[in-house]
Amino acid sequence: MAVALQFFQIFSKKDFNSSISLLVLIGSIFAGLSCLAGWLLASTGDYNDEIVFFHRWSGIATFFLALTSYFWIRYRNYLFTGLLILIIVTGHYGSILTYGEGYFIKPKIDSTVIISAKNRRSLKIEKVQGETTQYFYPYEDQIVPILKSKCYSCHSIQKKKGGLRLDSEFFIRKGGKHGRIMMSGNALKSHLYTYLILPEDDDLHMPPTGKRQLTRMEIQLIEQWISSGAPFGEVEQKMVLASNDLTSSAIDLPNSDLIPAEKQMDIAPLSPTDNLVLDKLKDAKISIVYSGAKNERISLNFINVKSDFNALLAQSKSIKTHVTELKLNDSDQIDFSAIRDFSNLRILNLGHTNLKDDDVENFQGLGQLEQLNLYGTKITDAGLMKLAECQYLKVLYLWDTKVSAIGINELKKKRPKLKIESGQFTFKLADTISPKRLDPNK
Amino acid sequence: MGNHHEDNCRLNHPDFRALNQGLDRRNFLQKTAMGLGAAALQVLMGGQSLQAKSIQDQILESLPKIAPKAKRVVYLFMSGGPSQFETFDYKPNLKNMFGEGLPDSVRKGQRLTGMSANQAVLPIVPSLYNFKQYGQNQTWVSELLPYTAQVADELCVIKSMYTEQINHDPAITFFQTGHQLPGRPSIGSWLSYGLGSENQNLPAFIVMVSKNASKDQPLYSRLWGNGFLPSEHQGVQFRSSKDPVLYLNNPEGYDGEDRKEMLEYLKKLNQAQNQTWADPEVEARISQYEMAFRMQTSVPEVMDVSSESDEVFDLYGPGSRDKGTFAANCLLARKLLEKDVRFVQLYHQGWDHHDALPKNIINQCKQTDQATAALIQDLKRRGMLEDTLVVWGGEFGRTVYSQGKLSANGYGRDHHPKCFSMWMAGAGVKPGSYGETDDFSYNIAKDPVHVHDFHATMLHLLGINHEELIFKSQGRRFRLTDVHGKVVKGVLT
Repeated sequence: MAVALQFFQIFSKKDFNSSISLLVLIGSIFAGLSCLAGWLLASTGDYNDEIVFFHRWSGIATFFLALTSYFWIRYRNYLFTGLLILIIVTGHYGSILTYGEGYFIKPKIDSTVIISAKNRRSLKIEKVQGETTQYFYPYEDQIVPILKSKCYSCHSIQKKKGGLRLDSEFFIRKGGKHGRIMMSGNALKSHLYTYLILPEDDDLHMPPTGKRQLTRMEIQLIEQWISSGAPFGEVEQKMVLASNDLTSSAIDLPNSDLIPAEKQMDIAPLSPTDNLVLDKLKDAKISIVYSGAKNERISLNFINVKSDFNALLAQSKSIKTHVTELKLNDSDQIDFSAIRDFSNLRILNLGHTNLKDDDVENFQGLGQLEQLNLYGTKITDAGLMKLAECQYLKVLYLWDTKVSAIGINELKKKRPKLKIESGQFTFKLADTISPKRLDPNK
Repeated sequence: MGNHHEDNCRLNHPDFRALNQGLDRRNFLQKTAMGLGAAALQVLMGGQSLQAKSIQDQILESLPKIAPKAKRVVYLFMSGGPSQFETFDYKPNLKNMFGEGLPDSVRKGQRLTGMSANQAVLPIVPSLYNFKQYGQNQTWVSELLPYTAQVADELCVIKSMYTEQINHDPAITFFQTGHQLPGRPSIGSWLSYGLGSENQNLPAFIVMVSKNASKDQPLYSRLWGNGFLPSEHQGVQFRSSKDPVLYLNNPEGYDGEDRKEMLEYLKKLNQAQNQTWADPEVEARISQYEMAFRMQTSVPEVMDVSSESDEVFDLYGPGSRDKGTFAANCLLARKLLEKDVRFVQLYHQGWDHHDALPKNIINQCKQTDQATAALIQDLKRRGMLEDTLVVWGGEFGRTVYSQGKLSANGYGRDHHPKCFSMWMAGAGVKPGSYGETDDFSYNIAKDPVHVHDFHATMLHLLGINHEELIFKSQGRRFRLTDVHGKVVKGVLT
């Protein structure tokens, strides 16, 4: 500010010297204090020495130059030019220390790295006579992006807070100056994990308050990675394809140790166009509930919809990958072929609808469907057999339908793990209880 | 981007945001002296602001998102304080101590109510009714609850509930609002405020009171009041008489179109008023009028049980055809839940058995047992037990000793807050039993669950972190659990 006033003075020929002096004095006092504080912080040794060196001496030079210009009014024009340059230089090095190198463009770099890693992973699958071997790079693909975006700014080559670096296998294994941070196979004894799950106001919680926190899923990933032995390289997963054998449970996905349940169904965050569609559905009184780490999963409930079921269903199709739950009860005008496209559907509730046997074919391709409610529909044993194709189905509601006990038994034979709720329940009538009397003499 | 959140759970409330954005070190520096220079420098060097991603966004991202297990709740409130000895807490050893005085080592000088404090002896009395174990979990249930026993495998019986309140009104108020003094919002109101209503034509919070119970202790409408929350969140009582909701029908000779027109104009007047005063109660009034108008058609529709089959009435038991009984209310509760009403609360009074307990409790159980079990079965076969939480319980328990002398008519039991039983069933609840009491069911031996913990757990099941559902009133922030409450992990699946 003082510099600005000085330049202004040159052009406007007015006298601001007294106020400039005051500003310079205040400025230099603060510069002096900052130098002291900076020196103390640097002596912890958490920072890159070379950069600290530049930051330190340019900072001290700034302080002295400012002080000189307070006393030496005559040459202020030249001194101020030098001061301006020094402030810029000091500030630049300071930013590198705090935010890490390349602090202007960092976010962009991150995303490209993640994308390329993902592409490569999907390439490497080997198939040998029905046995598939899949290779994963959990550290590179899943852990590094997390560390990079949330930890490197304080724990990498630029800045080693607590003497800890997280930017390579060697340093992660070595730990910081308070000892090791990871015990392969035991997340609960690894500070790399435990510090993440401490309450946020705890002094040891990482990342510190005010920094970007890890999401729940990221924490879970780190936990699972450590628990699985913290592999830094390639992980091999063999699985036997069981396409002909429907009774065997295909639910145990490969690599389920490393990828949490949510990850198995990777859904992109909602785009602005998705949100426009959702606004329209909201206007049509469809009840919408969001879930998932980025609110990317959507449950649609048509409870308030009285007409135009199919038009709205068609509209919902444009966000079909996000819809994990669909509730369409109490309508006799649904065109079930629309449901075929909702590939990420987990829960489907069609209680009291016009569903018939043939409509069931639309659900056979739904690879994620776990829960299906068909109570009060016209489904018969024929339709029931078609449901055997839904491999992931866990729960099926069939009360008040046309299916028979024989049909249910047939399905149970094919899918022994499937829980079928047929509502065949009657109370055993209870005897009347008469009040018991107390015998005080007893 | 915050919009979704607002619909789901109003954690976006400005108060909540401000609280969370509290000045941390970096924020402070940026906003004060150093900030000025740093900002100028950044602009000079053409850099984008590093904090472009607002702290608010970061907080929203880091908020733990609990996936909701329960979408709706039905709370069967057994008002008066049912005895744990004759229902779920089996204490066979008491038979050997029949008539003996309660040892001081058990009571530990605890203050008793005025009703039994002056009694010369406190004679121990065991349950006159037998217990058996039911289902895979071998849950103990008394012979007084033969139907509940048949759904035992769905129940999670918590035997170690406790409260600080020893009299009915503060204890019920405590259970419903999280505070013993009137004036706080009821559980249903908090849920209506936090989660909103899925069904736009029915209130999110509906209350029904059994007409067939003995009204030994009164209930007040403030138990389902909204407290300091906007008044559209208050519970709406559905009655058993001709008008289920009072003042909802049009006056004679006045048709729906007239009503609609009148309400349109009224809305305009209210909006004008709102622009002048910005009083949230004006907005509440507008939304209440709109809801009332929609309820003119939705309420008669949902209250009509004529399309229910005989099988359903038989399931709920003999009382279910008689409007206003507990059984009929259970059936209606199921219909309301089917329409995605968020919180249905049923009250059944008459559990305050200070004397003649063996005779009176039979009647209470008869009125409620079958319908309660039927509600669970009915929800289950419709696929709704998966995401509906069912709660059964009173405001406190009863004493191991008899209030008054032991007589041929039996015994009575006084109020006892230090331990009592209740159960939860359905969405996200692990069937079995939780917690233990000592041999006298006087003190808790293992895993105590306070009323606040119960609230925290209920909110957790509904996908809400109880520490984050906050409303600011009269200069301070309030929660249902206020400054207490822990989620009881042991009852969750």
